[in-house]
Amino acid sequence: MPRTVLISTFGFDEQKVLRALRWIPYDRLVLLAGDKSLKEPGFRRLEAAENASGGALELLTVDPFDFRSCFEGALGGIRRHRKAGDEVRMNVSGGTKVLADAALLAAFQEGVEAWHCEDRPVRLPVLKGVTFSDRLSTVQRAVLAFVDRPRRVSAIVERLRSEGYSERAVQSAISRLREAGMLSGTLTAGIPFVSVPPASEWFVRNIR
Amino acid sequence: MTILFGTLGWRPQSLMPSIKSTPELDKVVFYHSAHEKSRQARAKVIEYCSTLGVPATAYELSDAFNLFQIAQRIREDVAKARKDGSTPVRFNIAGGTRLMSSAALLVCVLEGIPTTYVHDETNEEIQLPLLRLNYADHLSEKQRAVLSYLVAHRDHPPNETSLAKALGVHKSTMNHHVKQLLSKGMIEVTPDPKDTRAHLIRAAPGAELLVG
Repeated sequence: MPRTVLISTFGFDEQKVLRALRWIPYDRLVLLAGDKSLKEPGFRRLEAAENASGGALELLTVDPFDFRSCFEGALGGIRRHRKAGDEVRMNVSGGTKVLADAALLAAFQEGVEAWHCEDRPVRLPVLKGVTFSDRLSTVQRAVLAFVDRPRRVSAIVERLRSEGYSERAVQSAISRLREAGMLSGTLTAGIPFVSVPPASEWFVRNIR
Repeated sequence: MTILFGTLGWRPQSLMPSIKSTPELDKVVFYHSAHEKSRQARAKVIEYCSTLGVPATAYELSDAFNLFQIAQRIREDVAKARKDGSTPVRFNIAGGTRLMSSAALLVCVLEGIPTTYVHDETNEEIQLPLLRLNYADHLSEKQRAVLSYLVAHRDHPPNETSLAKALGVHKSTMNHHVKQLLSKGMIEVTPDPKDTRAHLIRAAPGAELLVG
């Protein structure tokens, strides 16, 4: 029987999570929070409430002011529970705004149900099961997989042609990926190179 | 020429880095709450833009905690600003209430708008390389028609039979569409209080953003 896992962002105020627990059915609670939050009385009260109901609390610690850390923490939690066959829901009411936005982006990325529970529960329009990765064509995926370091455009074309893609398709894929900010281009000694920009690396790594 | 959109809270510093870093900045459009500190931040941003000679338009939101209302508003403004789709826009989602920021992120994902974040302590600008999630691509034409009908009739949700009649399809076909939309989380099915055998079908909250 698949469990329903509720991943909730958490700061200092346990009420924001407790509100979500009242409105969103769940079997297991996972808290996505910074280290400091877990030393606060709010966390202890939440832990006590969860223990009293017979549930076990799972913790995912992140740097709540670092978007990448929050995004990867949320994404890791979603993927791990999905792999275990669980149905995952996300509540983004607690914690810093960075944490909430990163968790929301991870929910979009993975197509999981997302909720805001402030004074009332608001379900966000995430289409379940539809992910960012679905937006990539097979040739775009092949380009991203090959560009693990700066690559000559001609080398990418040559490599992917050997895998059966046309030159036009590869060039078009490179162009679309550049528009999306997932690749950047440079000219070195007149030779065009593309690479994953450092600012996008964390994101691209998660959709390759 | 690029139009920069942004959400603003109490700290003008959350928007300033994007004003500085946007190439060929044509205009700044930002949203803020009615809170006094937010108005003070607005004045500082407008003064800064004025110094640079960049036109700035500030919109005070009547309810900075109504996520869907804010998202609808932003989406309409972005569509107007983009005109024929050729005007580049970018969005700074760092400021404002949590719900303002989430609403802006939602619009950026649905519209494929380059999005930036500004770190609270370092003021470093972080790019979020978003791909557009065009949900319409993941719904069949008929599913989109069903969802549009349900959004338009939110106040009077139909049951499956009347929905099938309204859209001119057989009941069993409608049942298939309803199941598909339900599995995608786009509709809600609840018992009809007037007829215990029937169920009412409603568009999920925020579905307007997906069909509009």
